[in-house]
Amino acid sequence: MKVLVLGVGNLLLSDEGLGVRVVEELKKRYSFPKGVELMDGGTLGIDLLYFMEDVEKLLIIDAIFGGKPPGSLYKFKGDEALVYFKGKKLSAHDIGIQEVLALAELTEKLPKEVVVLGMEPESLEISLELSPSIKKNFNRLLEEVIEQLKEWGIKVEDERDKHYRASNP
Amino acid sequence: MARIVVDPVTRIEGHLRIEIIVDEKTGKVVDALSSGTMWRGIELILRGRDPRDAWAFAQRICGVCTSIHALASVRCIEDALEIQIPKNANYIRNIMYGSLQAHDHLVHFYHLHALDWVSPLEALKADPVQTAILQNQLLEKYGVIGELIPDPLGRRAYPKKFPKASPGYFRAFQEKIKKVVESGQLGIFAAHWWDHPDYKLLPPEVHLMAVAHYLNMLDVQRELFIPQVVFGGKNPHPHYLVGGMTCSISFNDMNAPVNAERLAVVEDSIYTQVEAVNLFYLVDLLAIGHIYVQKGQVYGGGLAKKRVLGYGEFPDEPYKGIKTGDYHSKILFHCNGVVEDFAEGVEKAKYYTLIGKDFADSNVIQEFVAHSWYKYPDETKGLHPWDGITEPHYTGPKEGTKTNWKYLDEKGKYSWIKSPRWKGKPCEVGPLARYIVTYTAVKQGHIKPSWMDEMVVRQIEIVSKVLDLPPHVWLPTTVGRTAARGLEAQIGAAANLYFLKKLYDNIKAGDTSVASMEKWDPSTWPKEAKGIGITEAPRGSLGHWVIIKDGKIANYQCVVPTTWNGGARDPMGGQCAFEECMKDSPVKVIDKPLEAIRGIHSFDPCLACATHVYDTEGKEVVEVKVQGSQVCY
Repeated sequence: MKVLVLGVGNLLLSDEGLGVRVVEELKKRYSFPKGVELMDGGTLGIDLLYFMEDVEKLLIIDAIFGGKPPGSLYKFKGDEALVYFKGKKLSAHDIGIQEVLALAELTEKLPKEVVVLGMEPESLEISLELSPSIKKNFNRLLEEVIEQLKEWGIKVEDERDKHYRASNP
Repeated sequence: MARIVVDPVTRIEGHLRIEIIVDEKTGKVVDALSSGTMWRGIELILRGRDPRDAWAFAQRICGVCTSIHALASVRCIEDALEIQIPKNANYIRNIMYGSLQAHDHLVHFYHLHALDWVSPLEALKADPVQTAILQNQLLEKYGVIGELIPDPLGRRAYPKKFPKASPGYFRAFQEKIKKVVESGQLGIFAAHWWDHPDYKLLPPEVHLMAVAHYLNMLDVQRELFIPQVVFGGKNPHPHYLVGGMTCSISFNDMNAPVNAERLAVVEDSIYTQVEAVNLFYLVDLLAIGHIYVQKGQVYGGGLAKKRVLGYGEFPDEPYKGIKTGDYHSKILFHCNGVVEDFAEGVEKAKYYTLIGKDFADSNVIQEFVAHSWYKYPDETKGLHPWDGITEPHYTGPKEGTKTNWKYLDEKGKYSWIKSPRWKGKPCEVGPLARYIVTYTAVKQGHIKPSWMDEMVVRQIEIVSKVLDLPPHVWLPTTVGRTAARGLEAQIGAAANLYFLKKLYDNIKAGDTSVASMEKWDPSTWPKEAKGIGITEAPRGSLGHWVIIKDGKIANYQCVVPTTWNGGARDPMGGQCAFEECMKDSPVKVIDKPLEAIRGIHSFDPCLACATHVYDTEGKEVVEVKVQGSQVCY
């Protein structure tokens, strides 16, 4: 089974880049079994199609405009995820995901399961920093990602546990 | 008069809104506006940072052609610090650049632009047997253009990727299209004006062939950017390095980023580029373009008829600086210059060269903000990028609210895109501009043509013969703009073969160096330095300008292609290429301005450098508003 955890967004526009930040943090904190790929998708367009190949489960992390207070967590599954792609523009980026998934559908490469996780942004100003509301809830979002992966039967190992075991045999 | 709004223009990277004012009786477009949300503030991010890191941030400006901003950035810092990169790094950068061109152009044509010319609904009417016959005829008729690519490696006699000309192939794709259409959910084919009369210009078999290749190329396209992955370590956002590249070369170490095995993968990918461009892209392009031109569609040139600009590309060998002029003495693609009035014929066109020192001259390239949502101390004047400032100043639309626009205010500020100008004048940039400049430079004898310049001229001559029209008639049009992009993809693939041969030869001669590190340490840098980094991005000329003080970035400005093509008006009234193109494209069906959209798409607009920073709410996928004639413009 191939699983792709895809963080998307623009790092230069504060909370817009939260998807990419989550992927960076996941790589730092955890180790993942073979078959799970973590990807910084940036603001990539059609090229993303290439990375969808053979993916069975796709987890997208993005900044989402859902109208709730900044830092609110969103999770879309099944048909709800399709609303994210096909309905109103909830993501800050215009391109990419929506069209890529439509193209993937056309070429019969659409992953069997797609889940979208994200948070309501507070700021899209030019900055490399995440805003306070995102920082405050950042760990919750990470936990949600791990939770979702567990639901898919993926064993995620906390790097800190590993270090602990290594130093305390 | 009717005022038509299309917002957002779909199938582009980023957010663009257009408004056109049309005379309903004649279909003539009296005026046109384009407004983009290209909010730029890279200098705010980069100020105070280590110049050696600039490329990594700069390539985040855009996720679509990431490597091009990295390339402009490392060239810029190397120019400031007077660093000359090794031969291998130059060849590798050129192969990565050429691969970007071949890949980006092909993807644009099939996946972002083709549906302006062909329709899946028309494709359903085609006879697969006749389509197969047509495919063979077209390969025969237009295949000669493929012979223009020199093959210095001479390794592939028979193409691996060859258009299948069998009824079964086309029938299978037709079934696929039928399934999508019959599902009632057009998906990727939604939001088009399929009943527009222009979709009747081509026979159904051409529609089927092109739509089949649209689907086929979705699978092939990913093989085209493999050189970026091998040399850049990853994609997106490949690795660059001030002073060269990070990919060390070794033929003995099988774990080295560049070894014999990986070079074989690169070579294979380049041959795939050659085949995809020669046998699919160019043949389809000529088949479609030829008929459109025969049916009288020779409009949409707009600014290309009047003024185009290019910076120059493909340094044959490493150079000593850009502002010194050495870059321009080494390039193979001599599109560095400005050409005015090409539409009057190549003999009458006016040619002005553009070389290193011009980019440092504060009077040559400037950006204006009189009609953009930024503030300058004196908005009647432009600022050179080294003196550039980005201070947002949002004023809202003419009608509607700040968050819900009805109509924009062309007399005031109406776009987030600044207005770059050459000596105060607007210019079109992009493949068409590069072709016009190079062709004029060669024909008027301003340069000693390289093999690449000669190939450009031969390409233009072949197409002129096919169309039976002189270049000054067909090139500055919407068809010509789309054709030039395809021809340039062929140049990209040809350059890759050429530079791969050079890379092989140099490695064989014992040189495996990929980076020059003598000036890596900031203690070797001057107290203050200024640099210019120029390149030809797929969409047009791209420039980065830097000022380094005490080892840190003091100012950094990027002037990107879509600001040239899609920026707001200047204080002198000059309009950008998008607006001029729409004014030059008569509209047949008032509420379905396909001609304007096709014209805009022919530029391959990329505004991915931004998001909807201020304009996120309540936008439908496509919104076309027509202002009735009772409210006169």
